[in-house]
Amino acid sequence: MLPPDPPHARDAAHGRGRVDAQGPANAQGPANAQGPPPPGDPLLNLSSGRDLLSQFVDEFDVAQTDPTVLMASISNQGVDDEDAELPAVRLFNTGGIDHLLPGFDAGVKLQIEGDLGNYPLMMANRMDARIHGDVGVGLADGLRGGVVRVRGNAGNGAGVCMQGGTVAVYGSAGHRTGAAMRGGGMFVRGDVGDDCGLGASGGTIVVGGRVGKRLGNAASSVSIFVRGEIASIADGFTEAPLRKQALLQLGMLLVSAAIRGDAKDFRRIVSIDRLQAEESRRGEINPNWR
Amino acid sequence: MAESFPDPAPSADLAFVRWQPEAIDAVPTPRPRVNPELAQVIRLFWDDPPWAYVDAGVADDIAGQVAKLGVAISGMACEWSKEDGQSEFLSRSSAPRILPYRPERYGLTPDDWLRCNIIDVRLDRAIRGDGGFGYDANDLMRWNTEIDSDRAIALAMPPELVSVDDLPIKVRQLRAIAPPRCSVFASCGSAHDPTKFGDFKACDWDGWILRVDRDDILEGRWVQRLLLWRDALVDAKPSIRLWIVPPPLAAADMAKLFALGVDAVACDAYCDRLLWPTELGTRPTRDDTRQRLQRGLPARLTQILAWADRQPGNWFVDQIT
Repeated sequence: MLPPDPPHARDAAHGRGRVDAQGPANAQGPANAQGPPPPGDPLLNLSSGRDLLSQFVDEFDVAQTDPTVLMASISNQGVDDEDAELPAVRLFNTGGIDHLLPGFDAGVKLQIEGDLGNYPLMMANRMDARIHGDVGVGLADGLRGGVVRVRGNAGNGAGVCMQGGTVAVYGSAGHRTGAAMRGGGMFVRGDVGDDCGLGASGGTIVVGGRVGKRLGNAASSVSIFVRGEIASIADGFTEAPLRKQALLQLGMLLVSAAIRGDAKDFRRIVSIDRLQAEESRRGEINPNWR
Repeated sequence: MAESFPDPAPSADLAFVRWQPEAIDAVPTPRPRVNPELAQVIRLFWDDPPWAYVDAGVADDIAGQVAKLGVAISGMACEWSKEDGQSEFLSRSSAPRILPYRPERYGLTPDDWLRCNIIDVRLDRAIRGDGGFGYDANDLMRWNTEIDSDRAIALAMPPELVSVDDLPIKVRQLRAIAPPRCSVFASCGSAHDPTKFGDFKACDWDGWILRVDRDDILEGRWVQRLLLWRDALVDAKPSIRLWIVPPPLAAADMAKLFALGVDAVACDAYCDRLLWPTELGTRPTRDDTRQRLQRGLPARLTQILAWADRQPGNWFVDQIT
């Protein structure tokens, strides 16, 4: 898929492949960075050079920008206030790049246009990223927080080792989706491959389509909800009733992940140990002998 | 006067490796390494320090003290960072540091890969103190995972990889995120067959750490496994560095491992005791660990390296049966 052409008016000021890591304020070159402004209309000299009609505070041609500079430039745009509206940054011409923004940690909205390679947004935090394209292996590996939405398909190991945050894939995902998760939420609107939730010890996995073999393999406390067919469930896992509380929780999760459908169409898959623990707790709260 | 540092095991385990004062032409010396100067950089390393035995401040201090002896230290930032998030050991750029990259990434933070010299990709299931697969509760607590020990699952490979053929993807990722001069090693127990780990050439590992300290099934035959691994690795990449985590060995036997073609030897059997609980069963303080360190450990490690530096051509390896 060809990336869309960026608006020409932004090219000069917003750094197609620029090497200035100080953000847009310094992107106009050294002439404005030091000394008095040049003579002329003083109002013109106050201009940041930014297209004020754009929804983005900055834009980057990923293929033309050094990864370190890209990381620093976008991080500089981040806001620390959790309640503040996040500044939006557009990344285009991704060219299937591997390892995009490892360890990224800033309050920024990222619109990423184009396919990405392996391990995008590894151990990232706080950002709200929307990827318009397919991604390779290890999407959001070790995600610590924030949101990653993929309007495309994801390769193997999407959401692997997640600690928190949300990953939503609107296409399908490969094998080992949500493997070794220990927190956060993993949503796939389409199908996922084998060993979904392998070794996961926490968090929630929701699959709108079908699931491959060994669902929940070796996992322990992860909650898995599936709407489509399941090729096989791993030993130690079982289908559990969707109780009212789980229905409510799942309904809210579906809305937040923009997955269409009714929560009651899903089946809940949990470890047998966890189901037994739940049932024994219910027994304590609402004993039959009363 | 400092006490002598006791050997963790009696000598003569490796009696078949002998040093001759006169060079012998026909000795079956280890294969020559293409890149001997690289192998000289680190000769001793502390592979799996039990950091959870001590407070983070004590761990930070003793890591720095042992690193001053030329020992590369393995661990993560969370193991040395005090409550204020600071670590003197981490802030010392000259201290050689190994980052253990476990399949489950417990405790790993972005800080870790920015400040390490070697990444150790562990391709083996972790073993708890009680011998089962998994992680100890103390370690999990130190790594801020909030997972119970009985729920922490130990995996054998980075879980996003479907097969060993995908390992090159992982190596490329780690090379991309780590500092430019950081090396990427793999590690496993010697009970594995070298062919199990796919195409060594495609992965282009900088080195391999072979753990023979826990392979009880081998019953002392670990040297044969070491030589098997050495040949397989050198065949794939002559310049690859081979490090070994031996069972407890006397200092003289530690030195002999270099004669077998090993580039660095783990001194866990010597260094772990720095972190052991006190005689009263309490966690050792900074003073305790420093006192233990001064009881001859520096001299012992220096002695190992001095023996190892004897003329390589004068080492004689008997036929191993």
